[in-house]
Amino acid sequence: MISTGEGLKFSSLADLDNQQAVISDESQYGHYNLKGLKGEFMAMASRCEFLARPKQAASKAQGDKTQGDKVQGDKTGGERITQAFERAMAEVKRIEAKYNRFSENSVLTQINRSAGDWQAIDDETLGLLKFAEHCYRLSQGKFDITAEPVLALWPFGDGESATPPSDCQIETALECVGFERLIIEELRLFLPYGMGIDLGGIAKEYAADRAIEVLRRELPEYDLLVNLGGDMIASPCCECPWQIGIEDPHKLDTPARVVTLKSGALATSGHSRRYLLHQGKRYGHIIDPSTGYPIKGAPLSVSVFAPQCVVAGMLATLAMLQGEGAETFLVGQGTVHHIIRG
Amino acid sequence: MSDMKDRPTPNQLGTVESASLKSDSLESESVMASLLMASSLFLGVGAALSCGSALAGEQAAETRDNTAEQEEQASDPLAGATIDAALVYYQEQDRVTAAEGIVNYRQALNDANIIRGKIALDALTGASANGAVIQASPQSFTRPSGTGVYQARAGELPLDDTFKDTRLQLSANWQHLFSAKWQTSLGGYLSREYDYTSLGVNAGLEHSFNQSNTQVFAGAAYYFDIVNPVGGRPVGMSEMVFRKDFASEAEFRQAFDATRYYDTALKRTLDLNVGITQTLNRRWQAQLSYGLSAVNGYLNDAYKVVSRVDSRGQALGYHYEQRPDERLKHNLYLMTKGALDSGTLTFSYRYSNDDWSLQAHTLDARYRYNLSGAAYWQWQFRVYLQDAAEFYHLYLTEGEPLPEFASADHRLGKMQTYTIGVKYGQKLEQGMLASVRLAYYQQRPQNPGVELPGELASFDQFPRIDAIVLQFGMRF
Amino acid sequence: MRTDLKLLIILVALLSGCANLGVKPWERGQFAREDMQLDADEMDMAIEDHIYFSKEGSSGGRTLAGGGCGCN
Repeated sequence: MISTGEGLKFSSLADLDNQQAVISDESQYGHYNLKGLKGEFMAMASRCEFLARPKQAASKAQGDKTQGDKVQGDKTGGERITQAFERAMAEVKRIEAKYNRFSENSVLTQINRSAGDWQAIDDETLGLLKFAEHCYRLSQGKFDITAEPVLALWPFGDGESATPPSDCQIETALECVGFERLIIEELRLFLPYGMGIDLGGIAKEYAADRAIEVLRRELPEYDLLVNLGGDMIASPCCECPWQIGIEDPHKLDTPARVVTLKSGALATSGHSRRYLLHQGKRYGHIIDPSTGYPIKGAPLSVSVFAPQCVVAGMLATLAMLQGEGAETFLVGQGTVHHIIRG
Repeated sequence: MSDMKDRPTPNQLGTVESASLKSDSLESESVMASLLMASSLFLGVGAALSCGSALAGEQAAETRDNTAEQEEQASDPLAGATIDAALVYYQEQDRVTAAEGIVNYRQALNDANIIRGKIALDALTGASANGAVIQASPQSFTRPSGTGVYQARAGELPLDDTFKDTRLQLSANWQHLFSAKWQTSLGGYLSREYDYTSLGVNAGLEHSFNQSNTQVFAGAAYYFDIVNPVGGRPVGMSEMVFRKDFASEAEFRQAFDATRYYDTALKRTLDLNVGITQTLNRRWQAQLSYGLSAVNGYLNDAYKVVSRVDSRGQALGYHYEQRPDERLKHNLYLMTKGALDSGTLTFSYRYSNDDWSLQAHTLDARYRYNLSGAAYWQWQFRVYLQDAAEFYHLYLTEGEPLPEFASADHRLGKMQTYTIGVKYGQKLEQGMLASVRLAYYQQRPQNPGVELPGELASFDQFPRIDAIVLQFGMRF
Repeated sequence: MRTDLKLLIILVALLSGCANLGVKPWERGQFAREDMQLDADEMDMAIEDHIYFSKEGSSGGRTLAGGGCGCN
């Protein structure tokens, strides 16, 4: 096990002792006799990992006989992976630092502090806001990055028997919610006073998309996988599919189902531990920001495959927001997906 | 999750019902495709790279270069620029053909400054009406250069086929935003063609108030044009001379030169414009503007003539046209644009009037229908109605004194024109937008009420012009 | 001439009479749409204006843009 960089922990893909929950199981490829490298770190409050495994064609080109210990034996190869992982991690951490709502210095915090006036925004933020706007429209207001005030009223996670908010509280909170109140122009944003933006629903998936781009650029001859706390994306056309476990919300940390990922992204929406029991009633964990109340019949978890992680993540979120209609919605989209209900 | 049947509040009931209703509309289109399109806008190439790039060794060697390139791109001064390019093909039936290439460049330098540049190059060939009436016998006209003649067959509209021109137009504009409420713009303009040069400057100021619901703007432009027609400028109302009427070339040349000025003529234009844009409600906005345009200098068309006919309608001669050397124009423009769920609707009306008493009404309607986030159709319909200028004469009458001003240019006569257009736009990868537009333009000149003596009445002196416009556009 | 001035006065009066017209900042969502920008068809309009300028007796009105050209 090598340890370099800030918080980036490396291990050979042959080391299976670290593999938990949502990971790839290398034993599946034992017969290819190909090993790779895994980098782990913490970011965005999740366990994140990068996996790189040489493509067979590439290893063959370098000679079959030495391929047994390819990566560890090939010093330059190992160094290149290390470097690439570090760059990709830096990109993830950059996005985390920029869009962390809880950090004093983040760009997002500055934006939220400047509510009530016009402010300049950069291209990246504009892109994310435009995407959020698109999703807001698509979902008819159910996906809303300004919804935090109303979401915060529902004390999910504070134990299972807290009190639901009153209608009056919700009405008050709704006054500070509504993406359409934002004015987004090419160079600037008007965030009305009292409102705030939370990019938590997009930033992690966006970071995964960016990280895989960094890795692909630097390690074109490797099969690659980026996993940011369950939102993951593989490099296109991996020679050997990555095996992904989808966790069962009833038995946390135990893979419920193994699926394979050969290219593209898989993202999961669902907070399996979140529901609220009050006076015998169980309140759903997905709140519709346009009303302030839980959506009926939301699944526990929705996983969706799509070419890009932001797209997979958003489809999962939109499906979740469909409540009872989640399955119908995803079938209508023709996506490969997996829905877990209680 | 059977316990979910319990609803927390009556509010929840409404929510659930509306939620299930709304889900229908989500299913109706491909959300996946729409999201992919939206995400490609800010993720860039994303998954677009194919896996066919198997030259692993080579790629590894190039890795560092790519990284360097990537970093360069990040500081690329062209990032954030929008380029609009268009190719236009204009074809009139049996007459003028024009092709034009245009590139518009727009770049936001920072929060407060935007620059724009435009280059247009067009080439025009073909014949256009010279103003003379149609006759029962063939007609000849001395070419504007004085060398040679061009002819019109019996019963056909006389067309000057010497038209061939290339025009280059450059313009630049700088827009500065002092604040969210005040902005200014400053621009320059240059247009150059073989016989005509135009230089211009313009400036504008815009103020936004009433919670950005109202914008008022004012602008001014000044153009300085230099006119150098082929073969000099004809002396207004002078009669066209013919080589066949003279014994020698020298005598003809002397007579021809007497109908010409060979110096450079100027034309000056001052445009003033004030207007207001108002948000009406959540979906509609309207604009009203008034424009005043004062033009003076050489306003004739050097290549146009007026026939002089006798009581039988036979042409006895041709006089070069003469227009006043001043013109004061007023324009009133009213526009409204609305957002529909699936597109937009735009209507505009323009009323024009000037001291040549040329009045015109223009109505324009556009309907854009978005097929998805990525493609749209746009239909357009335009009607233009114009009354003749007071000095419009289809012909001059033999025996009557020559008027001070006269022009038979059908563009100053009474007419109706119609445009029907359709456009298709499609977004491509990396935020590019491709479009193709096809429009049909029909011009119907009309008799403003002049008598048609003798043989003039046997022909349609106001023939229609049909044209098509084909336009390809690309936005980067 | 007199009629168009009258028309202008009436229209200005109409607009200024409705000073309360408009929407709240958070109701401007529709106007943020790309296809709702007043210059969405700028290229088309410039091309059309140029054609009409050379084919018809009156021109302008929409904007100041344009400029001299020997085609009229």
